[in-house]
Amino acid sequence: MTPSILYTACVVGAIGLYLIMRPHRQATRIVGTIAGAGALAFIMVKILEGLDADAPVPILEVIFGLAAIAGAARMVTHPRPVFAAIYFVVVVVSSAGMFLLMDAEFMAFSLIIVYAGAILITYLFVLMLAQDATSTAGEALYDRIPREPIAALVVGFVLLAILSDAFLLVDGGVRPDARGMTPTLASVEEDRWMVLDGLPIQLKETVAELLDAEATHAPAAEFTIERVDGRAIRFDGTYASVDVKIADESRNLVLPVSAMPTNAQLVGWSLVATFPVSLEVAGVILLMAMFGAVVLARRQIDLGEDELRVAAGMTPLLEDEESDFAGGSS
Amino acid sequence: MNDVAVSLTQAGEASTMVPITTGTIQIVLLVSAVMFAIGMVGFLIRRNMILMFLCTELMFQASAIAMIAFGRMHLNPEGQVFVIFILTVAAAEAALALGLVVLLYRRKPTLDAEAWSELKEC
Repeated sequence: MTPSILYTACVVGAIGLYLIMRPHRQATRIVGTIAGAGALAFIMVKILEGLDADAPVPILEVIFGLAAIAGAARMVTHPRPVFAAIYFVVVVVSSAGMFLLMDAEFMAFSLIIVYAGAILITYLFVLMLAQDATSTAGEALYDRIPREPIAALVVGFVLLAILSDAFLLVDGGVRPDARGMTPTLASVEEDRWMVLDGLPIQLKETVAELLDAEATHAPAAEFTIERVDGRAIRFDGTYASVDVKIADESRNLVLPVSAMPTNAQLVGWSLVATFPVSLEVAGVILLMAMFGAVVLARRQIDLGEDELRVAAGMTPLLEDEESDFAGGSS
Repeated sequence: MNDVAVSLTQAGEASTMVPITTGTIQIVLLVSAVMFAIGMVGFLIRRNMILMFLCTELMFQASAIAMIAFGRMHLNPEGQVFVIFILTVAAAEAALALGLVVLLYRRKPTLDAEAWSELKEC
């Protein structure tokens, strides 16, 4: 794939999005959808063509990606705000599917719970609270006419051209198989076993289950896990094992792969062990947002800026229905 | 003794961890770039204040996909931890932004961002 193909596809995609922006012209919308989807599909085909012949085709990623992008395009162009919010749910669900495909199960489900469940409901609630009285059939004038569409498209798609150039073309694109790009699987596995090493209760339960499985006919004996330099798990590149001491007899026990920490455990460990300060800061951010929301919600009871100006004998900043309040106080 | 332990705990099963393929990560990164661009265009063209903030959520979403993809590529959970922080910021932003929008709506009963263009300097 050459840069000119990529940039041409970006231009075609921008034209397609521009045509979708006209909400009440069915024909241009169809042409725009075909142009945008065609440009996207063309680039995806070009990516897949550049791979080795025996490489698996990521068909599910393509499907979820197309669904997410279609939902996003419809969301930014739909004239009805509530429908736009519903299309955002399509985006959230599709990207949760992509998260699942990339072994991020915990984040996939928390995305659906937090975004589709909590944030989207808040948005829908405020949208319904603040319905425009002058709108006809739920479409306000400001939702039908886009603001500065050409300039916005130029900015957005120049950014897209640069981003996709960096992802797909510079130095042959992002290549996980290139030397030094990704760690070896053995080192990754060692890191994960070391996480289990940091969870002594779970390690002890795992060892107890292994010993129970060995001695089904007799109750498992009391055991202690031996630690060398504070580490219980030894990893030789293929198998992880622990030294267990049962009744003064020391033996080596190999851990099965199923004992490796799960994805959610790895995320939790990384959160508290690698980024503890960021976790605290995130808590402070949430606390401050809560304070801010409370302060903003209380503002409607307090006097606004104009009323304060009127009370101080100055003219109000805004000339609307509050001006008769000024007449009453003077 | 060691050999007995190996046979008893079925240690022969191989780890299921596989590196991500080039096609997968390039497709996913392309999707995230396109979503970010669409979200940015949406933020600029929409005049409805609530939908402008919804478009920022779309941009958050796109960057979250990219972070998960890179975290998957390097096979470490730190990309996912970053997404947790993104969710935190998105939730805080939604609470504050929607509170502000409701306040503005009380002042002028419209969601049009142009109605507040007098806040511009020129």
